[in-house]
Amino acid sequence: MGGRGATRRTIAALVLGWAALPLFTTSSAVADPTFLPPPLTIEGLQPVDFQNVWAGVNMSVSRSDPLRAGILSIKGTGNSEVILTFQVPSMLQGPGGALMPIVFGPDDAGFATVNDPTQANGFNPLGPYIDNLHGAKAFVFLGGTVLPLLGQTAGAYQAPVTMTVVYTGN
Amino acid sequence: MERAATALALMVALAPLGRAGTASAITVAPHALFIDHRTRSTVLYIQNSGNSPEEVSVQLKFGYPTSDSLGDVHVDLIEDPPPGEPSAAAWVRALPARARVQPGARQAVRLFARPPSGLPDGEYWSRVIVTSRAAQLPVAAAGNAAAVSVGLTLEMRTIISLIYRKGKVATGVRLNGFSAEAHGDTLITDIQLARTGDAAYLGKLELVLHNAAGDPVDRWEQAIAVYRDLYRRLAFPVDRFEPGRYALHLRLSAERDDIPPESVLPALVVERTLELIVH
Repeated sequence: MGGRGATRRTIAALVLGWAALPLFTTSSAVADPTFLPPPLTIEGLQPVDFQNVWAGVNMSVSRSDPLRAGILSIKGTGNSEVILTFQVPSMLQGPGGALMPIVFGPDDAGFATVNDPTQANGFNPLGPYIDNLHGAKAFVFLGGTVLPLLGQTAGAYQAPVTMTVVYTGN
Repeated sequence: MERAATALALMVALAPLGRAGTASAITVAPHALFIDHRTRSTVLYIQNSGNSPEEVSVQLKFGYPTSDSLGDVHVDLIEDPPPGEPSAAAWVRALPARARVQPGARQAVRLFARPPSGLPDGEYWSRVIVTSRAAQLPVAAAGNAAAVSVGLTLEMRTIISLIYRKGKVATGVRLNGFSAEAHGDTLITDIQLARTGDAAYLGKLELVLHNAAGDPVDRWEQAIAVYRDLYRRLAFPVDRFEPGRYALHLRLSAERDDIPPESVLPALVVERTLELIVH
């Protein structure tokens, strides 16, 4: 799991009771009318905002930038495991078919249990990330870098970003 | 200055969520769907708790949690599952499969199963993919004459499980391996599980750490879903690992409070204890 490295200090694990102890759990096949299935909510809180950019000058937004990084929240059931993936563009679409490259680095996404990007575990938005909804919620932060070309056409540039949250059931 | 003269006042935002003030928020409930062969349908609710209309779509694809050699879980979606896989994706339909959901509104999507005739008793799996995107592109205000408006699109995708059960099914879990190590202030556990019976094991993993006196000093729990085999390498934070002798007790049970009781299959409890020595 992401960001949980630690220096090895110990060691030794001996099995005491290797045989499993079978016991019966309580089980119910009766519908409980009071049971409310827990929902799963994804919310966009803040866009990635590159503000003004200049032709020929790369512009980065750090995932730790509280004002310009993209912020999303995930709310689910306590401690549920989720897999996050991003589908990110390589180009922003501009006027008349103009394109502007955009890239994402290996630390451009972050995952935290609080809405504080400085406490987030960094991860690569180009790959999957697995973690748990500690306290039934999590916050995801996203940055990136746009690479405006010299002579870049003025106008509006846009692209979709898709964040997928897979609820693993673990 | 040439650069200044040729500078573009481009306002560029890449928004996974739209502009500030046009937040998107989609709620999906429940997070796990169950269909019984007798009723052959269930309902998924999609609520737009944002403040702009959302286009939502619902798809089904076969997939289930698997694990890799690092103990991480993956859910691979398989477009055309090979024969013999217990896929329900081809014969469960979502109605409506697409809808526009207004802010504050809730859309009910009914999932109907039309299983092939002669479907053997057992459990069949799918994943339900709910995709939402802003129905209208927000437009940014131009900051000056050279600035331009910016339209941003957002897609959020939620993938949850669907289980279809026909006839009497049973489940259980076998603990094929359990070990643990202390790494600084983290407890690392390796757990090898294999499902028994013919239905996915949806249970709970509990770990309790006892000191040499037998007193519990820390405790963790998490849901566990074993569709076939599962290897998990799980890390748990420990307040402080003083040198000494500990016992780590593992308990696997079918006690899930996030799944409707009538959908929880009974299973034998599995327990095991390790001795852990921290130097």
